[in-house]
Order: sequence, then structure tokens, then C-alpha cells
Amino acid sequence: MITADQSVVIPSDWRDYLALTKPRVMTLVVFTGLCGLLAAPGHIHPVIGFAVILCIAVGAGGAAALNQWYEAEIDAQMKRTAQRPIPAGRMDRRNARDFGIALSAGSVIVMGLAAGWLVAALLVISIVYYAVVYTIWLKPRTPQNIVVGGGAGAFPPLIGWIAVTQEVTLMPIVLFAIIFMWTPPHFWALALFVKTDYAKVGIPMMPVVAGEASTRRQILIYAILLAPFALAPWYLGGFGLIYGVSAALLSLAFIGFSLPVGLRRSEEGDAMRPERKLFGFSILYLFALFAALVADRLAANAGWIA
Amino acid sequence: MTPEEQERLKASQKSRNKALGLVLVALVVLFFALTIVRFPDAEDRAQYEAELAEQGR
Repeated sequence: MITADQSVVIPSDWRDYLALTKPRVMTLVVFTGLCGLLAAPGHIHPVIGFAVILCIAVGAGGAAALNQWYEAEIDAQMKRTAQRPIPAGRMDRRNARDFGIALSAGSVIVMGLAAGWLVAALLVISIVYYAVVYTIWLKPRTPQNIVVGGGAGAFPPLIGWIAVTQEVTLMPIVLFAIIFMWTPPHFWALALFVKTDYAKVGIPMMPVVAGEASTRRQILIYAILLAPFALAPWYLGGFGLIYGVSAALLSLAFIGFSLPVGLRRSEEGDAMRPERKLFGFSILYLFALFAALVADRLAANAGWIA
Repeated sequence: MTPEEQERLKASQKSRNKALGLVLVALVVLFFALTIVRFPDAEDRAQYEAELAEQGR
């Protein structure tokens, strides 16, 4: 007897494709990319600037789709991620992969045509870094995965800046370093108060592998090491007092929020208040720091300060 | 395939096509705008001529 599969595959909704691009992560990507673009010395046509930000966002979306394509089995076993389109059965895995490749390739081609192939090459590096180096290679292998992953989030301001200047200089690399150093304390603060099931699926997150005490110590170390990087745009001479003072105050506050987290130990049934505060402040910190960078540049361009 | 399934399939195909159509229109607009912006103006042409003359010598 011949039996035919009568089940029908309903094509995924556009909302599922949108969810695949991790739109909430994208807001931070768009913001830091835009700040890099606006803080860079020089001029870029608004249409090209728009295309650059669009390509950074779409490239990040493509990398996020590839990430979810690769991690579908892991996501299915974790409460936080089980409702994503692929593990929830709303999307075919291969469609997600092809969607990710299409977004990545499309964003790189448009970036090359709009802002030149140096910037497009940097976009390729950032996508491959996130989708391959981080997701496939290092995330399942080392508790330093968040440190590595921070590099992926650090690309947007660098790309935005170089789209304007068309050359790789020290300042965009400093912006890269700021986000790179910021990510570990930001994420580990979250990891301390959100009980995730990373251990169950074999992803070596720092609090699970090295223990809470070590994670707390490392949060404090990164918070202190972040300060010289945050101040670098000012003492390297690219930016003025608006940025310098903002960065100094924000860095002091960041260390201030990290101190109680780094020096205490949680007890049974702990409300984890210092950790929650640090996590909340870390987001504000990044937004404020990059906004100060742009404000400083705009003020200098307007001739308000020397 | 039941009639209800057919209905759902059609509806979801339609919305997907609509979304794709919008993306294509947006790309057309973007490429048009980029072409206009990147079209060489008198200054770009003068620079190009100068480079040519430089190579010719």
C-alpha cells in the first residue's frame, strides 16, 4: 500500500522571521552603530548614513538567524528560548538558515555599494565572528564565551565610524574595546540573578563553571578595567570635556555599582538586588556614554567648545 | 488537505508575499536614492580628470 504524507506545512508567518532577527538586540546595535557614525569626524550623506545603519541592522539580524538555526536543539531545551520560532515548530530549520544567509549576503552587498568595500568587509568579519567564531566554535567550549561574544556586539560603532572616515584608525578600535570590556560585567550580573538552564544543555557559563565568587570578582575587575577604555577618547584627544566628564562620572558610578556585587556573597533566597541594579545601570551606562560621545562631537562641530 | 487547512495555507502565503513585496519596493527606493546620491558631480569629475592627467604624464 502506498501512503502519502498528508500533513501540510504552513509557511511561517512574517512575525516569525522578524523574531529570528532578535529585534531587541538590534535596537542596541542600531543605537551604537548610529553613535559611531555621528561621532566620527567628517561628513557622510544622510542617505548613505541611513543605508549603513540599515545594513548593520540587517547583517546583525542575519547573524542572529544563523545563530538560532545552529542552536535550535539547545534552544528547545531551555525555558527562555523554547518559544523561539524553530524550537516551537513554527519554522522549518532550513528556511531559517537560508533566511540568515540571504540577510547576511544582502546586507554586505548593499553595504559595499553604498559605503565602499572596506566597510562591507568589516561587516562580513562581524557576521562571521558572531555566527561562526562565537556561536559554533567558542560558545559551547569555554566559560570565556561571553568575553568572546562581547566582540560581536562591539562591531557596530566601529563600522559606523569607518563608514564616515573610510580608514581604520585608533578611535573606532577604542569604541570597539569599550563595548568589549563592558559586555562581561553586564551579562554576568544578569547571569547571577537569572537562574538559567545553560548547565542542562552543556553551555559553560561562567557562574556555573567557575562559581559565583569567581564570577563576582571578575565583574569587579572588568568594571575597573573598563574605565581607562571609556576615558580613552578624551585623553587621546579626539573628544573634549563634555565626553571626558560624562565618561568619568559614568565610570565611577559603574565601579560603584560593581563594588557591592564584587565583594558580597549571595545567601539562600537572596533577592539579588545589587546585581539587578548593576544590570539595569549597565544598559543606561552604555546609552549615556555613546550619547555623550555624539553630544561632544556635535558641540565641537557647532563651535560651542574648542 | 481539509478546506480549513487550505484556507490557512492561502492566508499565510498571501501575507508572506505581501511582506516580500514591501521589502522589494523598499529595496528599489533605496537603490534609486543611493544612485542619485552617489552619482558623480562636477567636483568628482574634475578630480577624476586630474587623476587621468596625472597618469597620462
